[in-house]
Amino acid sequence: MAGQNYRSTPVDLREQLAFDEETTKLAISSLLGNGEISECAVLSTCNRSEVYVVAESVESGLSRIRETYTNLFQIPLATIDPILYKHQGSKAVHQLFAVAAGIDSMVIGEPQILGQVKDAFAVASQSKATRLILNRLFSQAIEVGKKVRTETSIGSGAVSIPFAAVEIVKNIFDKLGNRSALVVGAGETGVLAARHLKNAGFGSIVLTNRTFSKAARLAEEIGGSARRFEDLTECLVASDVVLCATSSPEPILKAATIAEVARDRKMPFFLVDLAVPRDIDPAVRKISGAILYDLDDLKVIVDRNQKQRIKEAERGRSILEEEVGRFGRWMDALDSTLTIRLLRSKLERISGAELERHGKGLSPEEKKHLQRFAHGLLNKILHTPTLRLKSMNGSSASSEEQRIVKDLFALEEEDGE
Amino acid sequence: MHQFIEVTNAALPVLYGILFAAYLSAFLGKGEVWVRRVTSFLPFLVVLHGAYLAGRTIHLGHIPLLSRSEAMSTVGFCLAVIYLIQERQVRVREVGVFVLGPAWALQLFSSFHIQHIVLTQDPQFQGALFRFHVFTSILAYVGFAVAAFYGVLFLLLLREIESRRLGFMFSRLPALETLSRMNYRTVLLAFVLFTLGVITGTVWAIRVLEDHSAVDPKMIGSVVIWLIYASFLGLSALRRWQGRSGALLSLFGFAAVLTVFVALNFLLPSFHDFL
Repeated sequence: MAGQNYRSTPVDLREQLAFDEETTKLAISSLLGNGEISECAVLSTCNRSEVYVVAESVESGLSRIRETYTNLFQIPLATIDPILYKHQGSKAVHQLFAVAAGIDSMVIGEPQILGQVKDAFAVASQSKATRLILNRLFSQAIEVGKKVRTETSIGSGAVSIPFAAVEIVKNIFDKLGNRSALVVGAGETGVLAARHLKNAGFGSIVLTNRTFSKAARLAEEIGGSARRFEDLTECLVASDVVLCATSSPEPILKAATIAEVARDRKMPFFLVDLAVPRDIDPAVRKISGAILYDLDDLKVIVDRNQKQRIKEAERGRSILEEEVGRFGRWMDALDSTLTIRLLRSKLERISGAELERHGKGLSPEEKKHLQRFAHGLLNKILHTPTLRLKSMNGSSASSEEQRIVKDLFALEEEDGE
Repeated sequence: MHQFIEVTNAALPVLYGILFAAYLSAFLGKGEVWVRRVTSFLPFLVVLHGAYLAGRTIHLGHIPLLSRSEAMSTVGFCLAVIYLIQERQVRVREVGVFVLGPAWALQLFSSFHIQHIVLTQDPQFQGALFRFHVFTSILAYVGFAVAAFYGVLFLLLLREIESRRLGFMFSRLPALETLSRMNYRTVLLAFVLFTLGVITGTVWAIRVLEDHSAVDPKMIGSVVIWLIYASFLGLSALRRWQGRSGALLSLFGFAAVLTVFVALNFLLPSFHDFL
């Protein structure tokens, strides 16, 4: 496999090397073009693009991948080559498993990557570019991705400021569908926060901004409603959660107002201040029935969750090691099966030729008798080596034994012919 | 019947143990599929436990409260019943470990020490009305205790969120709103049972006791408890006193229960001394 990601490649170059559906299909047909590559798949996300191939040799595989990158994106090899990481055998398997598990992601444990691995596999399958090995590799990678997420807490705990705020909201209210959120400020942060709240499932999202038209535009975009800034207190009364992100130099929400609004509520009135300088008077912290989180509070949570995910990733790595081993054992078994098949086929060919040479002039009954004799002899000869090769599956000596058998019987040459 | 009682007595701690393990996994957020499967057997366990207690009552001819072991099994059963009703309403399994854990411990102790023998009981403390009074009252007290516990969980989670130190409770417990609803509904259920217990107890006392003018301290205490919880429910309905206030009120109510039924038990004579 070869690929580039957020660690090896600056974002401007990464953008140029992203595969969309069309370029993925072009890449697949280019890779399979001259017959050196028997299987391939392309995984492309905003943080990486990776190409997995089953090739006759490592050199030919890598060379075809390099060619595909340079031809498809019209970028010189001198630029591409230094940023491409290349792995083969178990390291390539480990790479795909780590990607699927979210261990190799920029945001460790992010959930989207598993879906992207599934998509990559689906496109390659539909293009008939995957067979025995990549089918097994990608299926197991998807399994590994799920396993790591289930057996570790790699995906738990918010690792972005808006998600951290939403996570707290979910620990206060059990059904957000009948809850109302107010977003004050329609700048970049306000837009992001409003989207997060919408995605979290809030039944109603109200936006307000000093420039009403901006609030109205954003409200239309996310499916909320806009209110004039003058109606702020009224909006506060009707809201369960308030998120402030304006560029006001002074607090726009005073403690006295919040004290009045928070009174007699069943559940705490939750306020999030994402602005610097702050939009909400810090004295709100002292009001019973109101809970205020500012950027620093959320940053502490995000940092702690990130550290926790790094720890969990370590646990995930031990699962990866086991799974890479499992895949390796499967490959060994596949190799020994192929070796046995090649050996049998060669001996059957020899036996057939000899039968034809010595069968001339024999009666049909004698020929049958001779065939039965040859078949029995062949089975007897192959019995012990077959058992031995099978029993060595997964052991370190297995590939050495297979090499000896292939050398002794010149099986690779026969296969090539 | 004797054989059924013996077999069930041995099986109950094992079954509660399995359920406890499943609810512990639910609390720790692990093994979703097997947790769902195992915890779905809780209604069957409750029915089995109920059949065991009913069987004892029929077979031995006395309510299963005359010995400490019997009382423990009955309280364990009441815990499971109260929890089951709440779980059916709110569909939350994360807190089951805290209720079924004590139920398991009580049944374990009971199963080891209980004797399947007939105990003598004053004839006036028999009959369906008396049994109904005792059973609904115990269910109600257990309900008040469970509600108070939900109140404690609510306050612990609220404290974590307010102090911005999000930790163990934050990642394990259901939302504050859910805990508040569980607290309120359990109080409501316990209050209905308690009202039934007070009414049936009063009717039974009028029928059985000769001296109707006797004032029993626990009866007075029961009225006080009834008034406290009636105020709780009234305030919840009228002034939206749920959440923190609801949690504190249910704790206050349960403190009153403890005061009446522990302190008065030792301090003042009462015709409730058989309990």
